[in-house]
Amino acid sequence: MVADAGTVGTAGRRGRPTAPADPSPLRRIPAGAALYLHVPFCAATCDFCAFDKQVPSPGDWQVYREGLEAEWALLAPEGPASSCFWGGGTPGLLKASDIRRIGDRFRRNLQPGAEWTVELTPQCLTREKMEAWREVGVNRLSLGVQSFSPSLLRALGRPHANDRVEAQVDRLRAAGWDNLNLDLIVAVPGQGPRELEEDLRRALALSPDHLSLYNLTLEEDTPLLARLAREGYRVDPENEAGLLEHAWDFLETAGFHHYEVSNFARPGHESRHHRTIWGMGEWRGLGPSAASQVGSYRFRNPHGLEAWRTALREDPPAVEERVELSPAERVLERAVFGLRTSRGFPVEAAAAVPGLEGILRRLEAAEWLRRGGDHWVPTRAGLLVADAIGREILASAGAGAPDFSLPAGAAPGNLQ
Amino acid sequence: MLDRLSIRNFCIIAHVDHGKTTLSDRLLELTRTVTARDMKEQMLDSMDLERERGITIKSHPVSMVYNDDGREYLFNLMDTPGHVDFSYEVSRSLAACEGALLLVDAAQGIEAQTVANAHLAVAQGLEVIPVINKVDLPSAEPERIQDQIEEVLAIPREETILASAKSGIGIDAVIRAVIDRIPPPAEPPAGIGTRGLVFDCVYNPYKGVITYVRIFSGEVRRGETVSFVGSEVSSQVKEVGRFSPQMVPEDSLETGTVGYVVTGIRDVAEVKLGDTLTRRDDPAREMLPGYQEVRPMVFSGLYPLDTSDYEKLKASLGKLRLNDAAFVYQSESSAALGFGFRCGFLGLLHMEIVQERLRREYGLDILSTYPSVIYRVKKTDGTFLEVDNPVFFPPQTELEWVEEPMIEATIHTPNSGIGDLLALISEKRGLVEGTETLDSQRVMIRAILPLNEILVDFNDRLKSLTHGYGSMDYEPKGHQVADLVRLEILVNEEPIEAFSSIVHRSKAEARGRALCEKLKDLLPRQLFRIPIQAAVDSRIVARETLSPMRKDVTAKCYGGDISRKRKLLEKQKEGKKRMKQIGSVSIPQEAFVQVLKSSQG
Ligand SMILES: Nc1nc2c(ncn2[C@@H]2O[C@H](COP(=O)(O)OP(=O)(O)OP(=O)(O)O)[C@@H](O)[C@H]2O)c(=O)[nH]1
Ligand code: SF4
Ligand SMILES: [Mg+2]
Repeated sequence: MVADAGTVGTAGRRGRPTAPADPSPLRRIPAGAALYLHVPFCAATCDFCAFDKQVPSPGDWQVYREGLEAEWALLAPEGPASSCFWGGGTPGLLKASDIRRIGDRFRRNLQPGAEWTVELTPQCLTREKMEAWREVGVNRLSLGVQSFSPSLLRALGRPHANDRVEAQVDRLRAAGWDNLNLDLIVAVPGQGPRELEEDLRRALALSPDHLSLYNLTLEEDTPLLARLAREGYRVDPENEAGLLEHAWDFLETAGFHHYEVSNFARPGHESRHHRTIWGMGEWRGLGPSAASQVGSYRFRNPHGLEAWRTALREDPPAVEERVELSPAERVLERAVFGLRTSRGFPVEAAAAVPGLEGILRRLEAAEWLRRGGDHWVPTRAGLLVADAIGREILASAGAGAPDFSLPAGAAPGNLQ
Repeated sequence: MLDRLSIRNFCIIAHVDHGKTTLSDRLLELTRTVTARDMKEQMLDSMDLERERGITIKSHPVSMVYNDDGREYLFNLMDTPGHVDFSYEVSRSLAACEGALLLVDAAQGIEAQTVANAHLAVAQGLEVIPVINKVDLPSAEPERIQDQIEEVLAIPREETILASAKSGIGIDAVIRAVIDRIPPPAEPPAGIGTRGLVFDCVYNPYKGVITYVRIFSGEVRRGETVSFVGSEVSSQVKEVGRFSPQMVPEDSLETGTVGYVVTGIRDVAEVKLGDTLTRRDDPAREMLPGYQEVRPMVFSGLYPLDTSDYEKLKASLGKLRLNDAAFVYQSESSAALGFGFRCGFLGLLHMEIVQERLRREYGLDILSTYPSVIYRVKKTDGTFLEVDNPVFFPPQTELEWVEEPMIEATIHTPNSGIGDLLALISEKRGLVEGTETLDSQRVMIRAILPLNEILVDFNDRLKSLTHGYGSMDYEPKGHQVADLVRLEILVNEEPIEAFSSIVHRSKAEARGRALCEKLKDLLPRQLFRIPIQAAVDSRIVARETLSPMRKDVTAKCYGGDISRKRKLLEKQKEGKKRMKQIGSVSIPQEAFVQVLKSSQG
């Protein structure tokens, strides 16, 4: 184990006498970690989505709620977490009573004022839920808008209409929610610069503090990919690059800080949670298929409600895809993920892995990176090829680099 | 069982696409060898590749019983391929027959392989029956074709049959001619011993080597011990049978007939095409004439993309060779590509088919080097060598002279295309020897050309100049001195052996440019700017630049995503296996195939 592993005293204050003095990494929630809660349910599922989710049948909610409690009981928090993110799926579907029950547990383990986000679709807003969120301490809402255009939503196979987003955001504002994120998708088949601008304009009119602008990825095993493949649709990287740059210009002009490939914030509103993860910090995920990185370990909960529940019968809970990363691998990953963000990667950190410095210099010569103070930071062109940069770093730096951990280039799901 | 006199062994020969396999369909139907329910178009083209490309690649034997007013005949038919690269298949089949149906397309008329295959059949002493096929076509001109047949093949028009394999016209007449005009198998001389000609083989994972034989004398039964006269290997017969068209076991194969023999032999090296099969208790007094060794004309290196597949490639080549005697191989190694094989083929289509079969039937990912012919070289130190791999072509300073193989081409073309065709021949450094008028609309040109010039695109260009009506046959015609150089292709400053070729000095630049342009399209963009250059004797003659990629990024990147991304990467690595890493660049398997389809000049 490396770095911060086991730094906080582990015994005593957790009040869980059965836990051994040096808990398994599968049980740890290090102090200052980011918490992630996965909600595997959606009201209806979207054709482009490859997340672990299902339309809940009666009884599933209870199974889920009890599962979370069981999972929590197995874990050993070592100090308050720095942020919490309630994602999915559609956490917005949780009933007010569930929000209170689950939320309460986590609140007690968060730093005061810590960022706490819930993802929701504009459709699931009710006064009751808003109150419950407020009560447990949620302070940031992330709205999955994707697009305002009915025809683009249809092209995505997303069965939610967005005609009332504006009214709903007004209600949120009135209720005092000011920290809002909107999710939009770029490069939907049929979306040109005009349609894109229209979506951006309507989003900006809602004055969000944060925007996530995701390039549509055609994931394998999704109905959307199957449909487009049948229609002979081809992804055109040139065209997508053009659309992305167009959107980036638009948002930068509007005063947003482009701080990660797909993320924009008004200065000071960058997401703490995302930053922890991109900075290769520690995070613990709860719920089906949620991933965690604790100390030098990375692992994932089993996929699907049942498998997850079954895994929780063991102590420590059974996980999948568990790997231990070497110090060199962690440095490489910090470079790979860091170079997707405006923070970049510290120049001196490169010395830890033989060959890494040379690669970074070559990337600089090709104008994918530049030196910003004591960090390497991506150029705008570099952000557009961040996956290729990641592969280059993993492939050529330090023999024995991990061959598993990173965003592979053009996702194979893409019709290229 | 039927007696010898009721057997007819014949093949169908023709130029490509004149309807051989379709005529076989009609015969299969008429004799009820295949039920209506199982019947499909071009039934005998059973390989996937044949069905996809709509051409016959292998000769396919089939036995049929025909009831002629109470008298039964056994027809052993062989459907043969028409493409020039597979003419060795045709000649092997001819050796097992007494007669040949020579199909001529009623609209296209006599073409290059019509003549070539007719000559082969006559040379083997076969009875040739001309059948003018596709008379149903509006553009059919059977009378004109009859004139041509009289003129070019000296067969009187009364002997031709008019037919349409597609609409079933004239099929009865074809059958009548088979019975009445094709002689039954000759009576074998007494005491000659049991002799069967091995005319084809396949390897079956369960049964081992299966030999296709034509029995000339004696008979072969299950359980007996047989041996191959040439290789002196003997074995017990596990199964005999005939083709229907799938293999159907029988008790024995009798004098005069065609069928298959399964022995226990599993080692592919122990069976040779053209060998004579005999019985231990009735040994052959002498071997049957057998086959001439074929001389491959085109050579190329085949390498597994994944170097650990070498042994698998080796075993697969052995099995494939059993079924395709016209290709040869020998191991070689290369610094950049590892261990592989230098293979010889009869032509480019043949090369393509062999590679494709290795990929499909044997599940191998392979790359092939740019094809080459065999050059004779005299070096300044007085030594001679034969070079079939550009890598071994000596530097200019060590060359005294180089000779390249020549061919004599026989090109059939409509009169209207002749001007363009002469231009094409001279562009390809050819010399026209003479022209002959076939009839009022068609001429035949004889030309001497360097073999390396007709390899890559000559046939395609000929077809497009003549709107599909031109055709060509060729045979080797000695060697000639020429000013040849090695053209190297460098990607990111590294020479890529697989793309090296030997070209005439006057064409090096144009070929170099075409190859660079093509590669620029074929190679995936990388993070860095990649120069693609063509060089002769380390002098750059052409250059292109592969621009860096513009976009390669996936949108999402958060905690819950990381384990999923790892799976994506694993899949992507699978995709990468289809690439060959040479120095700093990955070259997709596809590029090695496609690069051939580029070069002009
Ligand atoms: N109109 C018409 N078309 C025919 C006739 N016979 C064959 N064809 C068509 O001609 C094409 C070639 O037929 P094949 O039977 O595959 O020809 P082939 O001689 O076996 O071709 P290769 O084996 O590749 O040399 C097919 O599209 C057939 O449908 C015919 O009598 N009339
Ligand atoms: S996009 Fe969101 S709402 Fe649609 S299926 Fe996926 S998780 Fe559910
Ligand atoms: Mg055919």
